[in-house]
Formats: sequence, structure tokens, C-alpha cells
Amino acid sequence: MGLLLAGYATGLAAVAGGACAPRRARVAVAGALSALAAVLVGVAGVRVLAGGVAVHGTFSGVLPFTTVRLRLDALGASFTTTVALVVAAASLFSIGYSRGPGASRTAVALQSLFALALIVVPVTGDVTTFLTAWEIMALASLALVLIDHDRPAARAAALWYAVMTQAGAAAITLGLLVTSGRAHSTSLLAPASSHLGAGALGAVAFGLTAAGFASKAGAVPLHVWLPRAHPEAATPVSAMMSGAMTALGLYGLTRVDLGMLGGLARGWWIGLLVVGALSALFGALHAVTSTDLKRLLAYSTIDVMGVGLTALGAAGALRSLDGVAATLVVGVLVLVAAHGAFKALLFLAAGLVERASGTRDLDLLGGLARGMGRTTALVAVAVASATGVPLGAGFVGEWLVVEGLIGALGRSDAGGVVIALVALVAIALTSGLTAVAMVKLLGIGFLGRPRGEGARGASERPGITIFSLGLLAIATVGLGTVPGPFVAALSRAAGVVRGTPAGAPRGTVASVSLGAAATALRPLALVVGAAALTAAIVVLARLGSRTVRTAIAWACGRADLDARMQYTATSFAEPLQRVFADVLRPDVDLVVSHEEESREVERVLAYQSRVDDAVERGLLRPVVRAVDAIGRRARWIASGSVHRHLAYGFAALLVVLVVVR
Amino acid sequence: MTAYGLSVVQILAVAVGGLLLTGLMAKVRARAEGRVGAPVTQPLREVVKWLGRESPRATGGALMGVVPVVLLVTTALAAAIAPLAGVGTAGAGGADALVVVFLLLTGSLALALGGLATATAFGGMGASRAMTLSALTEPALLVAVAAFAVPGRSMNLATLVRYSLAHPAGVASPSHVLATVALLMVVVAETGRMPVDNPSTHLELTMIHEAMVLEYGGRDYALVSLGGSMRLGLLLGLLATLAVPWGVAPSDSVPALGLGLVLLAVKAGALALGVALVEVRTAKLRLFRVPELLAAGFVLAALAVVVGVVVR
Amino acid sequence: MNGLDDGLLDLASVAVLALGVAALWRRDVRALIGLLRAQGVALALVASVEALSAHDVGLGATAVLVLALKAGAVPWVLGRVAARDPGAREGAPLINVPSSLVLAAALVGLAVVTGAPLARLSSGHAAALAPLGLATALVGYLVLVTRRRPLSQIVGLIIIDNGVALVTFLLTSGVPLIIELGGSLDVLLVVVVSATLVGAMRARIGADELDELEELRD
Repeated sequence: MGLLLAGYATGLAAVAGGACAPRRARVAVAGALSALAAVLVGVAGVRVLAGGVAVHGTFSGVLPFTTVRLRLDALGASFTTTVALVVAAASLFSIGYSRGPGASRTAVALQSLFALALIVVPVTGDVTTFLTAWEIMALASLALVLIDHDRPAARAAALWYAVMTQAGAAAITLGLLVTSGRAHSTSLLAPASSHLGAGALGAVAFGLTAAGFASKAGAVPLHVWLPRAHPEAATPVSAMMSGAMTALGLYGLTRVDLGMLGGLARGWWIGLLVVGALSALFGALHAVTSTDLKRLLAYSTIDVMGVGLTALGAAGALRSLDGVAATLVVGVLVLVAAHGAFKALLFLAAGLVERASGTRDLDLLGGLARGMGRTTALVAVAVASATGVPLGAGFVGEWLVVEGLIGALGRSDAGGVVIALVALVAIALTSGLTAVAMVKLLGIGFLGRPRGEGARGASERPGITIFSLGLLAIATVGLGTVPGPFVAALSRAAGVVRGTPAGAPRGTVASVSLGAAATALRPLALVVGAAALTAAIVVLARLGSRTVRTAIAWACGRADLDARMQYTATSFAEPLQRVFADVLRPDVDLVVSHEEESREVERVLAYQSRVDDAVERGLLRPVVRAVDAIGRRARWIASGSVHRHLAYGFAALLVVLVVVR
Repeated sequence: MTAYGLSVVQILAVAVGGLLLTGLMAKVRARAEGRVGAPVTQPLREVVKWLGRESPRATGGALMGVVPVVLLVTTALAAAIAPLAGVGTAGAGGADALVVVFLLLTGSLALALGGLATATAFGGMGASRAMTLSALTEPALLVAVAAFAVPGRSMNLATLVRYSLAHPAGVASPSHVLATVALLMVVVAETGRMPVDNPSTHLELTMIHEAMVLEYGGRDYALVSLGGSMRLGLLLGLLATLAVPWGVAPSDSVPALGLGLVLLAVKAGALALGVALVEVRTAKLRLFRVPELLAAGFVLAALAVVVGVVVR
Repeated sequence: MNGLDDGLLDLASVAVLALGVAALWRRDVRALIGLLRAQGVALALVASVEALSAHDVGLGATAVLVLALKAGAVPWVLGRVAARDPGAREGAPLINVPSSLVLAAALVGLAVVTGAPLARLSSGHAAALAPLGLATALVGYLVLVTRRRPLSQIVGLIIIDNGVALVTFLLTSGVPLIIELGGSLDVLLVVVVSATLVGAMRARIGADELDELEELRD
């Protein structure tokens, strides 16, 4: 507990430092203190994971009307460590990065506050503390999106975000009220053998909390804010939003819905699974077609979170099967940790690229490997992790989830088999599409030749920014190559979730083994094997020719190759855009103008394709219009007359008197 | 024979066997078209010849040296742990089906990145197409693998093969047959054979795999093409092992392993022969018709799983 | 019933379903007719395995009848119609081929989940397979709904009939010969009549894609 409190005190000091420190020191002081706070809290989390003993404390007088309850158990600790890692890296990064509007007093203080709220949320022990921390987190991030409020895109993003996050928070509050009312306790731990999820009230609680948490995790159709808000925020903030805040949506679902609402009908879990599957596919498809670096990353966040939602839905629906639910939940926890690390890395790297080249448009980037070698190498590590290359962290999570589902196929009734199969198919297709998006990100953005002036002159300076990227890369590789201890700790965390005690994955330093699918992952053996084989192949290749000659690219005989002849992000994604045209509904414009002498000779070809959010266009816009219309009609209620408003107050007072008596 | 010995033998068998299978398929095609064709050992000789040549590297040159190594290492690693001639390979305990699948995927990713690194239109085109198909193949691939795993209730390939050897009747079960057909379709797509990709085409605009490796030359090309053949050999070998596991040695006695190796060659050879004969008779599909083929593969794999529930 | 019979029954029933699904994949009308023929053979195999294991002569006769009608007469009639328009292909179905295949997978899943009570109607191995027949019928319905060419739609209709027949064979070990005779002859009649219609339509207006015919109504 001492470590935690020290961490939170440091976090508060960071906020104060951001608000009060002189202009020059502000960014460094706040960043360093925030990072230190995250490290302290993270260490507390690791200690709980390693020792398995939950720490808790109650403090009265901190907040008015209520006591603050903190509780760090294994499940909370798994999220705490992930969030702390992301916050620490992003805070360090901001020391070397923040300037301009991102370094203003408000921005720095708010960023520290956001960082603090993030590391508090998974450590809260009761409903009121949780909701308070949650709301601070939401409001701080909302204000951070608005920092650059001169840009219309930022204002639009903030509006969407404000609506979604406040509606989400309201839903969560109501849902938690229902739950704690039934439990006669505000604790976030369900009393043993309760059936809080049973009956209509249980369904209501599930619907409200799941909708609120899922909207934080960017679930379709409540995702609209995410691809707008994440790119609009300053780089360290977008890294924290994407790597840590979305993960807390999954935390809420695991803690409240899986952990407390026992006895819920299967259909609700299937609903969550379907929403998750749709989100995963939707996010992955849009990540494939996006050409804006940060938008691509934001959509890929929707995709990973969608996979997490799918797995949680499946875990809920298949919780009667020994080992399956536990494997799925542990898989989600690993996936969240891996995603936090690699997505924060990618967002931070995207910030560096934007600053160095002046653009986020992949169609204007390319060839960054030459000027930004370190960044490229670190991005490659993150991309490997994101695409499910074995030895990447993402693979471990995906492996656990997929194995859990396959384990369910052999043992379930027909309904269970179909559930597992649907989840499996959605995750498989998502994983394939993610690979395309990530290859596009690395191959188009960093390899090849520069497509624009900005990319040509881009360079990097080693420093704390690259260091913080490296930190995340080390975490990714560590989790990918030695996942065993982490998995073992998470298996204890899964015990908090109802219905998952038996058959959880087992982990040692060298392996992770599963009862559910009777198989094991041995990453260290793979590392040794790969090293030996690499040595053998290099030796073999040396037996042949050793001469390497630099030549111009052959390109089927074209000598005057220029950078514009390369594939672009748009053309790279074109085949998939065409295959999924019915879902994506792209707007494609092809303008051809001909030479005057002959209609056969084309002079200018202009191709433009835009993929708008079909869900937003088809589903949410009409809702917005309808609300707008109702608002206009209801305008007479608030006419602006002071007397009328006072009369409302008076009437309300009378009603309260009558009702309460 | 020790586990490590078996793994080394399997890697060499897949390397040499893959090249020979490539040669065999070319030979079958030539014969069917009324030509004599090059000897079956031609790809082997070519790789040896190219190994001795200097490597010209264009823009992104450093990566062009790395890509073939990644491709070879991942394929060889998969060949080392998978039960092909015997179940007792080194790392058999970690021979998870998903690991093998994703090792192969890593090779594809490396090739695609290499294609983009060359900064040519064709490299990008090949990478784009290859990644598109690989994304669409994945559901069929994973579900087919799952269908094989369901009866033995394990994703460990060695355990699966042992189970299959102990329950020979399972080979004729409907789910097994469906899964085999589905996996065959996936293998055809993953190895870039007709009707998905034409490995012998000279028309760059229709290329998929070849477009990605157009810029490689000399030693680099030798390694890349060895990697491609190994992939073919490994996938055909794995398919043969999963579909008809008979002959895979459950023990580590040398005669049994020798027999396993011979039977592996026979099974993979027969599969290659079949694929080649189908190739002769089919025209290449338009790129945007390939999803239909992959969807058919997927639906067969899904049927295999669902039917497994009904028939048990 | 011994293990070999069970195995054969499994394979044949699954073949009926898989061939039905394949009808969604192929566009070539002649290939579709080939699929129907194969499906007829598989269905007849189901009936004959049941007949052999139950030593039921009537069921054996039904098997022969099914073979003659569904693998013989019906494809033959359809083949004659198709022969008048060689190279006919299903152009662009209402739902594209990959989507309809994915949909088919979903339908099979649905059939297996909802058809579970069907499997409990009778004990024994054969009854457990009954959901496959239901799945076949659903897939046939999908063919009927999404295809534009009348010939492909007739194929869909026959797939539905085959699915229903599969259910009856598996559940009741065969219906009385006379009922099967009646049912099958009905199908043949439908096929002949619609085949004639298609031929007449094509002779009169030179097209038979149903969408192109919409304006005729006005």
C-alpha cells in the first residue's frame, strides 16, 4: 500500500508541477514525476502479481460524502502494470517531445492528471471510487483532445468524444447502481455464490455496464469517437488513450460483467461476442484502408479491442467448460498488455514521424528507414508483435484466445461449437487483415523511397523519445519470449472471474501450457532454434558467393524509376477494398482527361478513393439528426425567460415535496 | 536417432524434397503439354548454381539480404518441430499447430516487406496481392487446422498424429475428409500454385509471388527460391501427414524413421502429382475470383467442424 | 448396424450436404447439374445403406428409385435444357459467391443448433445425422433465393427436396415406397414443366434471367 500511496502522491505532485512549474521546467518536471508515479504503481502491481496477495486500504475524508477504497488484486494488477508501462513510457516521451500548445500549462497539468487517473482506475475497490476515477480520466482526456481547439477537426472529435464518453459514463453509473443495489454492497468484488446477473435486473445491469465499457473500448457502433479523438490528441496522450484507456474498458467488462454478474443468460454473452466480432472486423478493415498514420493506428485499436470483446463474450458464453473461459480471459489479459506496449510504441513513433516529416499521410511517406533508422527498427518490433509473429507479444495473446476457442470446439454442445466457431472465424480474419494493415504501415511508411519532400528530409535524434520507444519494445519482446511467469500470474487473476477456476493456463519460464487444448508454447526453444538455424543459414550462404553489388532496381527494364511509381498506401489496400466493397462502401473517383489529338491517349489520370465510416453514415447520423430535430422542437421549453426557468425550479420543488413527503 | 538428429534430417528432407517436388510438378506439366521438360532435379541444380553468383541489390538493399534468411529460418524451424518423418522431433512438445502456421506467416510477411522495400511498382503489386490473399486465407486455414485438432482434442501436432495413428478409422470420417480438402485448397493458395497464382508465368502483371521476388538475384535469389520450395515441401508434407498419418514413426528407431521418411516422400509426391495434374487442367483465376475459392475452402472447413459435432 | 455401415452413412449424408453447398460455389450450369447427379447418388447410397442394415426390401426399392430419378432422369432433363444454351453461367447472383458461401456456413450452424431436437426423435446413429438434411434443405433455399437463372433455381428446389428426403431416410429408415414414389415423381413433373417453360421463354424473348423479365409484368 505504501508504494501505491507514494505513487499517487508523486502523481499529484506531477499535476501540481505541470500547473505551477516555470515554463522551461514544466514539461520535464511533470513528465518525470508522472513517469515515476507510474513506475511506483507498476512495481506495486508487479509485486501483487508475483506474490498474489491483494493489498487494500480505506481512506475517509479524501472525497466529500464518501470514503475512498483502494484494492489491488491480481486482476487489477494485471491491468495496472500494463497501464503503468504505457503511462511511464508516454510521460518520458513527452519530456523530449512536448512543445507548442502541447506544452502549455493547462495541457501539461491535464496530461499528468489523465496519467494519474489511468493508474488509479484499476486499483479502485468500490463503486464510488471507481466512478470518480473513471470520470476524472474521461474528462481529462476530453479536455486534452480540445487543447488544440483552433482546428475544426479537433472540435468535431471532442464533440463526438464528449457525447460518447458521458453517455458511456452515465450507463456505467446506472448499471453499477443496479448491481450494488442488488448486492447490498458497493464493493467491486461479488459476494461468493451470488446471482447478480440473473433475471431482468441482471440483464439491465449487464446491458448498461457492457455498453458503457464497450464504448470505451471502441466497440461498433459506439466507436465513432475513437478514430477521431485518438489522432487529434497530442502524441503522448493518444498513446495513453489507445494503449491504456481503451484497455480499461476491457478491465471494466472483466471486473464487473464477468466477475460480478453470475447467472446471466447465455444470449447476452453471445450479443457481446457478436459486437466484438463486428468491431474487430470493422476496425481491421478500416485500418487496412486508412492512409493517415494515426487513424490507421486508432482503427487497429478498435480491431484489437474487438478481439478482446469477442474473447470475453465467448468466455462468458462458454464458462461452463473447464479451462476454456480461464484460457480466454488470460488470453485477453495478455492481449491487452501486448497491445498496450506495441500500440503506445506505434503512436509515439507516429508522433516522431509527423514531427520529422510534417505529415501523417502514408501516401506522402516512405523511405524513413534511411533517416530514421532507430525508429524504423523499433516500429518493426511493434509491427511484428501486432501481426502475430511468434516471439511477439501479440502472438501469445492471440494464441491463448484461439487455443481456448479451439479447445471449446471438441467438448461443447452444438450451440457452444457454433459460438466458438464464429469467434474463431472472426478472429482469424481479423488477424489476417491486421497483418495487411501493419505490413502497409511499415512497408509503405518506412521502407521503399520517400514519396514526398517531408519524408525525404526526415531525420531523428537519439534521446529520451527513442529511449521510451525502446522501453516499450523491450517490454514487447520480453512478453513475447518469456510469457510464462506473466501467464502464471494472470491465471491467478482469472480466478477472480466467476466460473474460471479450473484448467487455467500454466506458465513456467520456458513454456506456457494449456489444459484446454492440450498443447504448449515454448518460445525460448523457438529462440534457440531460430538462432541456431540463422547461424547455419548464414554459414551456408557464405559457402556460396559473398559478393554483393549495389545496382539500380531492375523493375522489368525501366531505368528511369521514380518514387511516384511505387505502390502507395491507397494502391496497396485497393484489392481488399474491392473485395470488401459491399461493407466499406468506398467513394471512388477516377478522372480521366484525354489528349486533344486523340481520345485514345490519356493525359491525366486522377484516382481518389475515400472510405467513410459506413456505420456513422448509415446509423449514427440519422440518430443525430433525430435528436437534433427533437431538440429544436423542445426549444420552447427553454425560451430564455427568467420567470419561466424560476417557475420550473419552483414546480420541481413542489413535485419533490409531494413525492418524498 | 536423437530428437535433434531427426529435426536436422527433416529440415534437409524438406529442403531437398521441396526442390524436387517443384521439379516434379514442372515435369508433369511439361509432359501433359507434350514437352519433354527439364529433369526433376533442375530446381536443385539451379539453386546450387545461383548460390555461387554475386547478389545485385537495389534500394532497400540491406533488407533484401535479411528477407531470404527470415524466410528460410522460419520455414526450417517449422520443418524441424513438425512431425513429418517421426513424432519425436526436437521441440515436439512445443510443436503447436498455430506456431507452425504463424511461422509460415512470418515468412510471407518478410517477403511482402521485401517487395515493398525495393521501391518498384511490381514489388508493391506482388506484396499487396500476396497480403490480400494471405488475409483471406487465414479463416479457412485456422478453421481447417481446428477441424483436425477436434477429434484428438489437442493442437500439438505430435499428439494429434499419435492420436490419429491410434485411431486409424478416423481418417475416413467425414470431418477428416472435408478438412483435408479444405486444407488442400489453402495449401494451393499459400504456395502460389494454379489456379491462384501461376508460378511459371513470365507476364509480370499477373504475378503474385514472383512479383515480390523480381528484384532478387544471385545468392539472394537462390535463398529466396529455396525458401519458396521449402514452403511447398513443408505444406505438402504437413497436409499429407495430417490427412494420412500412416508411416510417421511413433518411435525413434532408425528403421522406423527411415520408413517414415520414404512414406513421407511417397505421400507428398502423390499430392504434388495430383496438384500438378489439376494445374494442367485449370486456367488461372482472376484475382478477384480467388476469394470465391478461399470462401469455398472456408465453408468446407467450417462444415468439417460442425459435422464433427453431429457425427461423433 | 456395424461400424462400416455407420461410416458409410456418415460419409454419404455429409456428401449430400457438401454437394449442396458446392452448388452455391459453381456458376457453370452444367457443373451444377453434375453436382445434382452426384447428390442423387449420395442420397441413394444413404437409402441403400439403411436398406441393407435393416434388411428392408421396400427401402431397397426406394433406393433404386431415388437413383433412377435423382441421379438419372432429373439431371437428364435439366441437361437437355442446358444443352440448348451451351456455356450458360450464373452471372452475378443476388448475393456474391463468397458471401453466400459464408452465409451457407452460418445456415449449417443454425441447422445443427436448431435441428438438435430432430436428432432426438429417434434413437440410433442415423437419427443423429438428421440435422444435416435440414442444413441441406436450408442451403437449397439459399440457392433458390439468391440465384437469377431459372435453371439454377430449379437446382435449388431439387436440393431442398433432397435435403427433406435425407431427413426422412435418416429418421424413419425410409418412408413407404409409394409416398417416396409420389414425391419424387412430383419433383420430376416440376422439373419437366419448368424446363419446358424455360425453353419456351427463351424461344419467345431470348432471355431467361429473371431480373430481365420484370418489365414484362407491366
